[in-house]
Amino acid sequence: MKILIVDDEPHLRMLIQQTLEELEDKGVELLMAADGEQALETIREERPDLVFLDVMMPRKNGFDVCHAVKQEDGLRHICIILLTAKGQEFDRQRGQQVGADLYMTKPFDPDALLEKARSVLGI
Amino acid sequence: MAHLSLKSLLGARFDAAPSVTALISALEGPLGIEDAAGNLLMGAARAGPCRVPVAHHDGVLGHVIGPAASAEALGALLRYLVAKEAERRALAGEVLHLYREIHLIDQLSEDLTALLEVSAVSRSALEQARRLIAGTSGGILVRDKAGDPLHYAARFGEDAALPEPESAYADSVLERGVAEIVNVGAMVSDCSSGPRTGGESRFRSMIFAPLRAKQRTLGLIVLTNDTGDPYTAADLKLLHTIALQTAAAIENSLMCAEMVDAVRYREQLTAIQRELDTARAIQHSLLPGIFPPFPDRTDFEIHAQMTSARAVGGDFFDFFLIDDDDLGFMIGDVSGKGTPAALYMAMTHTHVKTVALRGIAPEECMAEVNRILRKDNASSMFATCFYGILNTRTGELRYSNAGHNPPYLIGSSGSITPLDPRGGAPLGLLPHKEYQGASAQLGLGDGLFLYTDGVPEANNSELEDFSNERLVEVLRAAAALPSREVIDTVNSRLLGFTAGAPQSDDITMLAVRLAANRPGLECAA
Repeated sequence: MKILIVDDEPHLRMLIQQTLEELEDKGVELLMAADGEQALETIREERPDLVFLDVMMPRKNGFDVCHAVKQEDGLRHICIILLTAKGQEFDRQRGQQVGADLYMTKPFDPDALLEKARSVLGI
Repeated sequence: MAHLSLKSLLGARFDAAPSVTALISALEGPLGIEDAAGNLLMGAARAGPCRVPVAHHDGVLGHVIGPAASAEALGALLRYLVAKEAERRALAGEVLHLYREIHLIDQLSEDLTALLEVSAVSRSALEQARRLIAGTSGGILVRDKAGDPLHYAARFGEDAALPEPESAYADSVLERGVAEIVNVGAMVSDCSSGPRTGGESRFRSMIFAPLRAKQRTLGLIVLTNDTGDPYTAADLKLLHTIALQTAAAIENSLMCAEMVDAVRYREQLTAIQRELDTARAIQHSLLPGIFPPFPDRTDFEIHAQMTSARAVGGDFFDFFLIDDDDLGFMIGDVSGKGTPAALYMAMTHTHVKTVALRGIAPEECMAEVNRILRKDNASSMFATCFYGILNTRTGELRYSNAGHNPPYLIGSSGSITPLDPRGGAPLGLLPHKEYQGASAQLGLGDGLFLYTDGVPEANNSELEDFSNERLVEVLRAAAALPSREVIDTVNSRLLGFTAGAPQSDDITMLAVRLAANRPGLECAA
C-alpha cells in the first residue's frame, strides 16, 4: 500500500510523513511530491492508494491534479484528500467538481489525519 | 513511531540508496547488506568471512557481509545513516508534537468561542488539556462573581486527588496569579492501607494555572498525575496557554449569563409591575371615585382621598346612603403593607360594606365583621376601622371605632374635638369580641374629619412626624372650608412638611360636613 504526500512546503510534507510514519510498520510506503507536476508523475508511476494533496501549489494546483487523476482510467479509484489552509477561501463546489473524495483543513489534526488514512486503507 | 529499519533507510524515500550502491561497487567485494532477519537487501549474497553488525542503541538492524575492511567501511556509513535518520525522526517527532499542540490550542479557541455556558466551556477546555498534558485527574475551579467561593465547573478522574476548592494550593495560585507545579511527596495511591513502609511510594505531581482575564483571576485549572512522572516546565507553559484561552471564554460566559439574568429580572419586574397596576386599578375601583358623589344632595357634602405609598395599599374608605337620611361612612387601615395588606383590605372593606348596608347599628356591624374575619383568618392580619352613620336630617352620629385613629369633629365655630374612641379591638384581631357603640351630635355647618395614621405619622427628611398637633392646627384654620378644600389644605400642608421625603405609609382622608343652613333642618344649630 502506498500513500503519496503532496505539498510544496517541505516542513508540511515532513509533518504529514511523521504523522503517518507508524503506518510503515504495517507495510505502507510513504511517497513525497513537491508540486503538482511531480505529483501527477508519481501517481502514474506508483499508483498510490491514497493521496494527500495540497490545493495551493505552484505549476499545477491541487484541483488540476485531482481533475486529471479522476479523468484517467486506472487512476480514478485513487482516494484523494485535498488539504486546504484554514481561513483560505475553499471552493467546496470546485472540490466536488474535480472529484475529490474529501478535504481537510490545515493546521490539520494529526490524529484525524492518521485515522482517515487508516480507514481509507482499511488498516 | 515506526521502527528504524535498513530496508526503509535504503528504500525509495531516502536519497541514501545511490551512495550506498556506489560504495558497494567501489569497495572490494563481494559485499551484501542483510536485514536483521537475514534477508538480503542490497549487494551480493554470499557467506563472507566477516559479518559487521549495523546496530543502533540496543538493537541490531542488520549486517554487512564481505571482506573485513570493506564490510567495516560500509558498516560505518550505514551506522552513520541510521544515526542521522534516528536524529531526524526525533526532531520530526518533536515538531509534530508542537504542531499537535498548536492545532489543539487553535481548536480550543474555536470551540470555546462557540460555547456560552461556564460548565460547557470548562468541560471543553479540560478535555483539550487532557489531550495535551498527561493527567490522572483534573478540574477547573471558578467563582461566578468576585468574592464568591470557588467551585468545580468541570472535573475528571478521582475526586480525592483534586484539591478542595478552599485548599491552600488554590488560594496560593489565586493570590499570586502564576502557574506552578507542586509535587506532593507523600503517598497518594491508597490512603486506606495506612502509611507506607517505604520502597514503592509514588508521589503526586500537580500543575496549576490561574484563569486570568482582564486583571482579575476567575479561577484556576488543575491537573494531577499519580503515575509518578512529575510535570515539566513545558507542561506548565502549555497549561498556562490553555488557561488564558479558557479564562477569556469563561469571562464571556459569565458576562453573557449576567446579561441574561438582568434581562430575565427586568422581564419579571415588568410582569410584576403590570400585575400591580392591575391590582391597583381593581383596588381603586372598589372605592368611591366620583366626586361629588351625591350631587343632588345639598344638605351635606362629603369628600375623600387615598394616596398609597406602594402600588397597592392597605387603607380603605367608603360611604353610601343606607336610606334617604342615613349616610354610612367608614375608614380603615390594614396591618402590614403591600399585596397581602391589599387583599385583606379588599376583604375587610367588602364585609363592612355588605353588613353595614343591612342598616344595623355600627357596633353590631363591627362585631359581625370581626366574627366573619376571625372565622376565616388564615393570615393573622387585622384592620383598624371606624364606621359611622350620620343622620343627615337630625345631625345625630352613631359610630363604633375598631381601634382606629379617632376622627375629629369640626365645629362650625372652629373647634376641633376628637371623638370618644369607643368601640373595640381592631377587626380580625380577637375572637368573639363585643363592640361598643357611641354617638355624637352635629349641628349646622359641623363636620367630621377621618384619617389614617399615614397623616400624623408622615415624616420629613429629619424623620420628624407631621403629628396630630399639626393636623389639628390645620383643621382649625380650614374649619370653615368645604370638605374637599379641607382635605386639599391638609394635603398641601403635608406635602410642604415632608418636602419630597419618601412616603412610607398610605395616606387616606375623609371629610363630611352638614350644610350650614337648610330649611326644615331638625338638628340643633
